[in-house]
Amino acid sequence: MSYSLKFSHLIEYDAGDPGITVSARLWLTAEKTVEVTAKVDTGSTNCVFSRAVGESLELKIENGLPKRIKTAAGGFLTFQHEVNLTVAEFDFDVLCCFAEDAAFERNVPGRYGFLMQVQMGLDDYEGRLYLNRNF
Amino acid sequence: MNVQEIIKATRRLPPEEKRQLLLALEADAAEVQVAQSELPAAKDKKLEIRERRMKWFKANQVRYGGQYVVMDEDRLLGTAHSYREGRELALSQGVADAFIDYLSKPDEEGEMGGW
Repeated sequence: MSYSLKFSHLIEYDAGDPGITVSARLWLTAEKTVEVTAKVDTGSTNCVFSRAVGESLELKIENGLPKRIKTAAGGFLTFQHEVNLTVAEFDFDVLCCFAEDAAFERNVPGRYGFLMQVQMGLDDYEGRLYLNRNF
Repeated sequence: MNVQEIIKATRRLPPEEKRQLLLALEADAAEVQVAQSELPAAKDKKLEIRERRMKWFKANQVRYGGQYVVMDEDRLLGTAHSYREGRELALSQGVADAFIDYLSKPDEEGEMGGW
């Protein structure tokens, strides 16, 4: 048996880099927008971004909804804020987590808000990420 | 060709072409939405809705946490077990642009696998 999916968007990334790297944009308005490099992570429940990204959007980080994220090495506190997240021309209205600790520098589109709304095909050998929006 | 004739014609398209048409229309709609959202009044309204919604999240996290919440502005339309169920719920109530996302329980921890 074989299965096939068709995708509308292809993101090519450097398979030699650590992680599956995509460009993303977080924004509130045309003036409050920030472009970031992010690592797609199917193991991440949430979309998680650095404090610096949230502050670029002029968010008051601690005014958000607290959420602790656990990792293999421990955990860290984040605060959720509603923002627009754009990846490959797809725009999502999503609760993103922003790290409390400024030392956390990762940007990770995860399941809630992002992966749940797309179909994703991954060819890590070639460095190709295929995307469709689910509706 | 008028709108009704166009709709009738699109119903005869094969599924893949319908999907392409839907993507094209959504892209156009998103451009219009972005343009409209840049008008000062629309921009203020959107930010105000987000502020009201954040207040709602904080006030209702204990009651509704652990589920997908489906919202029309700051009004709860219902809850769902998945994003897909949430979208179907919103569409069944005629709200195409509902906010749908997972609301954590107050003490719930998220996970990051790769880092």
